[in-house]
Amino acid sequence: MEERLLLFTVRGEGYAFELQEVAEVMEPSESYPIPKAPVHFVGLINFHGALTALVDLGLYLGKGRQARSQGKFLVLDPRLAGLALWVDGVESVVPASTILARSAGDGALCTERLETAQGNYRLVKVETLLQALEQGLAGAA
Amino acid sequence: MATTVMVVDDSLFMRKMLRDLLEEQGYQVIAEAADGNEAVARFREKAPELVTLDIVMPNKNGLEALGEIMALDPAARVVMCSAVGQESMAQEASLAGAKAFILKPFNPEHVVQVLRDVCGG
Amino acid sequence: MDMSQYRSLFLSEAREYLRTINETVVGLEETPEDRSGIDTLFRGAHSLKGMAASMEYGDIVEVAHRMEDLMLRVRDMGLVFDSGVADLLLEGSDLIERMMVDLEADREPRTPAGDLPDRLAGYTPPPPPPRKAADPAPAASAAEPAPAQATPSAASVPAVEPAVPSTPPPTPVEPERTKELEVTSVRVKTELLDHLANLTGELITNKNRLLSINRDLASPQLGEAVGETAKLLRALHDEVMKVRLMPFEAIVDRFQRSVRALAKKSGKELHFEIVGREIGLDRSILESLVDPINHMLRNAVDHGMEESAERVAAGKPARGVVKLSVARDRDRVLVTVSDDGRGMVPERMIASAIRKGLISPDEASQLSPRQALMLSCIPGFSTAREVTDVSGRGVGMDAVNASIQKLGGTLAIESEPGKGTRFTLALPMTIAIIHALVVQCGPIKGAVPVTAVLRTVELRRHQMTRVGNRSVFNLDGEALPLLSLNRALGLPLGRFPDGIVPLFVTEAKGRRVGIVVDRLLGQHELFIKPLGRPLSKLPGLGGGAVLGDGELITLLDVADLL
Repeated sequence: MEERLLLFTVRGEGYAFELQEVAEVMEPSESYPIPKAPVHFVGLINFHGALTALVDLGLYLGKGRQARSQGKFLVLDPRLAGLALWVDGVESVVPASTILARSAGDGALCTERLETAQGNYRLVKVETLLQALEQGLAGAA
Repeated sequence: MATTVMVVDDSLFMRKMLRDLLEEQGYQVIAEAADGNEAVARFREKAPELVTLDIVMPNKNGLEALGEIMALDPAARVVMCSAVGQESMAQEASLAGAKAFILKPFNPEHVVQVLRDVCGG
Repeated sequence: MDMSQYRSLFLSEAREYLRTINETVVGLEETPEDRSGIDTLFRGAHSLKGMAASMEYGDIVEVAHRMEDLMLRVRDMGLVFDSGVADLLLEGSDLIERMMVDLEADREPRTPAGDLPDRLAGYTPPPPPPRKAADPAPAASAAEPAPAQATPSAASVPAVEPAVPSTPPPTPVEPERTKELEVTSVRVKTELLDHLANLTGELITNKNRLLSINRDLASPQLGEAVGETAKLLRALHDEVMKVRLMPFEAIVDRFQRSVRALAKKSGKELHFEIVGREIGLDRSILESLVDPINHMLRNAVDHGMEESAERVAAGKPARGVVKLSVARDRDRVLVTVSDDGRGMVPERMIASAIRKGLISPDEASQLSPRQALMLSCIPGFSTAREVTDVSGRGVGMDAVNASIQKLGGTLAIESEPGKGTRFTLALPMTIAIIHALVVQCGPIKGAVPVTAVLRTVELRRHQMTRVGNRSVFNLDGEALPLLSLNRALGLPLGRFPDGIVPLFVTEAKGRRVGIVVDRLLGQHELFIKPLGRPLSKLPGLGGGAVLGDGELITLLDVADLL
């Protein structure tokens, strides 16, 4: 099957994940604080019985805190991670063939810049994001 | 009626393989044993028509078990299983009443042929 | 014939043979003429060869074949089973194990047989040293093979000096294959067992939820039904956990190997004894115990045990004893490593800790002898030449202590100068479903395994005193430092308007300490789940659980947090 992308926004800016790396888009639900975790780790949520860390992606990217009970939780595939991302909202799912142009990313989280008819999006690989988050945790204690 | 067989080998792996092979060929495996003592006890209990008997086993080896089985039933049809390099033991077994030999590792066609010969004869 | 269906059976049975071979080799070094041991080795190599040939694993056939030939020379051609033969067989067994790991991972063998087959085939014993008159006859040589003994059993390590004749070790026990013939037992995959344990855990979480709902409803019928369910779940849990238990036996051959190697290297004369091989432990705990136990054994051999001359001068038998024993104590497992060596002197431990700048002389004066011994578990106490890497968690006794605490267990040290030392690990039987003390610190609820909690105390302010800049309180005549869990979690300190300070006592960095929390919320039965990426990288957390009311809490690794 053709690769598809999930387009979403964080504080008004466009981002994209490969659709296969996302398990579910959830309405905000209750979360419980995680001891000693950096502030962007909002808490733990229960995703069908799996303990899942909720990260405020905007806060992590230095764009300020998400307003309470707004936005959406993007839960990543549990086989890849126990991680959900708090974002503004999901815009659409598009086939990769609709990408008009691709250019190099910023060398950090964003691996590629995607140009579409709806605007520009930064493609984020889950593995890259996980490694960056893990690096921030190892030094937390 | 399917021929009834007892498979004797100290290795579970070997027993399982031989059992599968025999059952595929229509034999009925009614007993297994993992050493010589057990082989003799099960033979007495189940009186299988055919026995495949490994030589190198703990407690009582295949040759000793063969002797006791032949004493229980001089008409017993016992096929020894032996590895390459144990030809001298094979000869000893033949004198003690074993009907045939199969070599390990098993060659399925060869096993089938040997057993058919033993049962036909 | 499609052989791939037999692969997992091949691997598991081949490993049983390798284990038997390893244990028998070690046993035979004590009584090199034990016929039944020699037969067992010959048969083991022979069976491995035959099985591998059926699977067409040529490399394994080659090694096993040479091992078989070498044992044939021992059995029929008068070759003496000496340490050269033992080394080669152990090397062969290791090589086959590595080859099987490659097979299991479906990859090309990365471990070539090298020259081992040639060395097995061409082995010639070194010329015998001039025989001393005092040489004892090999023990139990011509004796009837002893019946397989029940534990305690012993396996000895080769002595450098001629050994004092000792009681013969038991005949190596054949793996009980006959059992598998019974139709009443089946082999199941370990993933299935994990799955069963998980389902049981989810059911327990759900039962807690029902209990919590009925707190509002207060329905006697529902209460009764839930109570009955709880009873059934406890029975189910016990049964499932029993299935996951593996005998300690499964890992002992590694210890025999390592003690043997250590004794050989240090040239010390000792007897290694293992008690409680049949005791069952959860598979996951068993695996995490290998490194800590190895480290404690190493400590015992390298540091605890004296040279023979020193022992004799002290009026002790020339040959020391190192003992590894496992026992059940209700829902805990006790693992002890003891030696009859020189023991530890508390005053010397204290002096050393002060010299290394780990404690102040002021603090030192507060230490009880028990606390002084636990100084060996402070990071930085062990010096580089005394340490080994323990599962990548660092080095030394502090790493042992940390990994035991990770499992929800505790470590205790007892020692008497001149008499010996004993390390005791107390561990929960299982780790997935545990009893935990739930505590509150600010907005955070956390769980601490009860196995790591020595007791809970509600302290009145006047019971606290200050030593230097630290708060301490007196427990059973020992001054314990008070630490705040709030502070460790980076939270504002709790206030205790009614003057009562709740705390629990635990062992951290080798010392008993009081951990102050905002509230003690009682004991809960929890199903601990892993946190997955990225949170598994956060130090101080050992998983999480769902409480009855749906709240999520984390399992705190207190020692790691402090």
